[in-house]
Amino acid sequence: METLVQAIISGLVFGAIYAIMTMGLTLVYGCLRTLNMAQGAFGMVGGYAAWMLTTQAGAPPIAGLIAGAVAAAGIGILTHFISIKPLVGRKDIDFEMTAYISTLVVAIMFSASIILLFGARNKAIDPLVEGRLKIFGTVSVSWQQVAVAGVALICLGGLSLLLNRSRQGLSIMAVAQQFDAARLMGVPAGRVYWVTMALAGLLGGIAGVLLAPLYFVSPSAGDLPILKGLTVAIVAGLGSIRGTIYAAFVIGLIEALVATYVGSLWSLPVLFSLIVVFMIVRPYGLFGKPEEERL
Amino acid sequence: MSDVGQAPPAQKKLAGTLAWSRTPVWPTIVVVALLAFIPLVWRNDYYISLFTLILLFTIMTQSWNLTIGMCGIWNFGQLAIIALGGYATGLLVVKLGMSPWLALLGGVLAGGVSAVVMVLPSIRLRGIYASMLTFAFAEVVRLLIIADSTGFTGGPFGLPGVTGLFDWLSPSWSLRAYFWLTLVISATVMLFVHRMMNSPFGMGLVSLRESIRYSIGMGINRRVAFITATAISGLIAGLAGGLYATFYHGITPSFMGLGPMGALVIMVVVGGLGTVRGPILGAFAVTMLSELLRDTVMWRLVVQGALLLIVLAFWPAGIDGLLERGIQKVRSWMNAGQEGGGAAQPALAGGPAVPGATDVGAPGPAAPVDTTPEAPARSEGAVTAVASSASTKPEKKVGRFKAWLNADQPPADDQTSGGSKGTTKS
Repeated sequence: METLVQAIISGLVFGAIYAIMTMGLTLVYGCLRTLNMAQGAFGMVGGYAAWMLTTQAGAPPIAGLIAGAVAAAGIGILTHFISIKPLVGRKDIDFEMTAYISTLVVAIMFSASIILLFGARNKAIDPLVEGRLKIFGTVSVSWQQVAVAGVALICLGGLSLLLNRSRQGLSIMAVAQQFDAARLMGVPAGRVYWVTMALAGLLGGIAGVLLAPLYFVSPSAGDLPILKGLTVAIVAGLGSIRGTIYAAFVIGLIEALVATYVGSLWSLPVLFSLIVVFMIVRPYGLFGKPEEERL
Repeated sequence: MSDVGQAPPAQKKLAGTLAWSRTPVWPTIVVVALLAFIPLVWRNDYYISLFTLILLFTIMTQSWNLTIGMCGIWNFGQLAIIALGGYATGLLVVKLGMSPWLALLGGVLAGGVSAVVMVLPSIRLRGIYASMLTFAFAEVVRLLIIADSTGFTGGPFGLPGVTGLFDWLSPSWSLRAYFWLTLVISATVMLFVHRMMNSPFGMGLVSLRESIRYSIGMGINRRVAFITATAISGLIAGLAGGLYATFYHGITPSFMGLGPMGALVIMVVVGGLGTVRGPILGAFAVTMLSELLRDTVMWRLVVQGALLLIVLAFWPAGIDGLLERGIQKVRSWMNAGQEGGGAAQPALAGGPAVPGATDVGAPGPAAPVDTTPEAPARSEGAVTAVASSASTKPEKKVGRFKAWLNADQPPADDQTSGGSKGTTKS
């Protein structure tokens, strides 16, 4: 019983991180029709920014979180201008495939640049808060996990406010729904594009800083998050915001339960085989649009 | 728009290009025979091993190009297939003590089987989902091997002690033997792919890439065609992996890491997606480039990545496309006296650097690219666009064929791929 509760708690915490991680992918796919393979690299860069500010310069952890988010947002805008903008609207290429390749290569370039700047060694980073919170019996949560879940929920809430209430957010939604109509209504699509990428960078950076104390800050820190993000996005159906949140928590829970009861080595293969089965049953994801052409 | 449809000579010419091109067996044999002298004349072992590596890369890129470029299956897990072929070969040698030649056969089979297993669930999926699934498959394979602590695969340190194919020779002769073997295999694979793509089966694959509905309507069995193509691609990949593992006497999971992944993607795209010549040109160009930067390993990735971004932005058809444009230009210049301006048009239409098409949401019909006969075919396809073709390459024929069909009717609106056209569907 206590193991179960412990597993569920850790699953929910990871689900929250996956949710903000994948939300970046979802927003970018919905708006730009690009599967942004650099999303993991945003988190990696955010982790490095936080590490520089906290461990190197001695700033408080919350400053590291903000710095990581801002740095990653900047990297997001950079990614847009070097790898996506040159491809938009071209007739002689298949946009989705080309943008996929170019963002993948940009992610590799970011890792290589980070190795050039900081070396390949892992960097340790302090958690946002220390200590553990006892709930009952042997069940306890570290305050870090509480903080992670809190920050993630604040991000999701803020995102939903932004998307549904603000002018900028509404224009993102408009572009995602109907590109041509949005342009005809006077939505500046060019600006919406880079704002979306900045937003995705922001979310990726926050996720990266939140994950950094659990793993390490390293040049390959983006690999695992992007893999998890992809699995969540597959299950959710690309471009579906509601689906992303559900799928993130479902996958976080499955992973934690498998890791607790079967062994952490098995969590990835089990997850992957579940996804293969799932894809055969619902090829467009949990909330993807079935009318999208599928084969 | 309609000069192709109206002029009978032009039509006759088109009909001529529709014939399958012959596989250049004899020219290839001559080239291979000439290349085979390199290690005898140039006795620097370092460069021979570099050339062997390039040849290995051409086999790998050729196998990947078969799925991603020729058939339009968005397969981003090919590196895992290659590595599985290498691991299978290595494990058969190390754990079972098999002869490396037999083990190579095992690696080939492992490559084919794992490719089919990987692609089978993703065949039903639309492009981007398939790419995610295959990418995730590859990552899972990599992470599993890294996390393996039982000592079966050697975990993160890789599988050492794989016997080479030519260990009974002296090291420098073994190297030369590898060079010759990979040269012959690479040429054979190239000829085989060329032959396959110019067979009814290969034409079916290309037409599936161009328009799935059209091809299904023509009676092509998509599932069988894709699985067969994937299996062939996997067999070639397994062979490449096995050769790699025996050549370097081992294989590590870092072979599936981001660096090699990036290098392979860059080779395929820079060379020219969906062409037979492209992967070879790409492997050669990119390996030579990284050789120039060999003292700074990490700069190498950054420079290669920048190269890819530049190629994607300016010449999406890759080196092969540039080469082809050059050939076409020379040809049309030579024919200019007899045919008039009309013959030169398709060649120019292939040029990606069309002014006005780079704007965000540029209105399609107004762009100058659409005024040439080839434009309808170009605006339709999946990878074709990336893959401009060579004179011997099938997709140009399909493109021209479509253009020819469309010449009588107004260019049909885009029926091929509903949601997958990017944001600027107009």
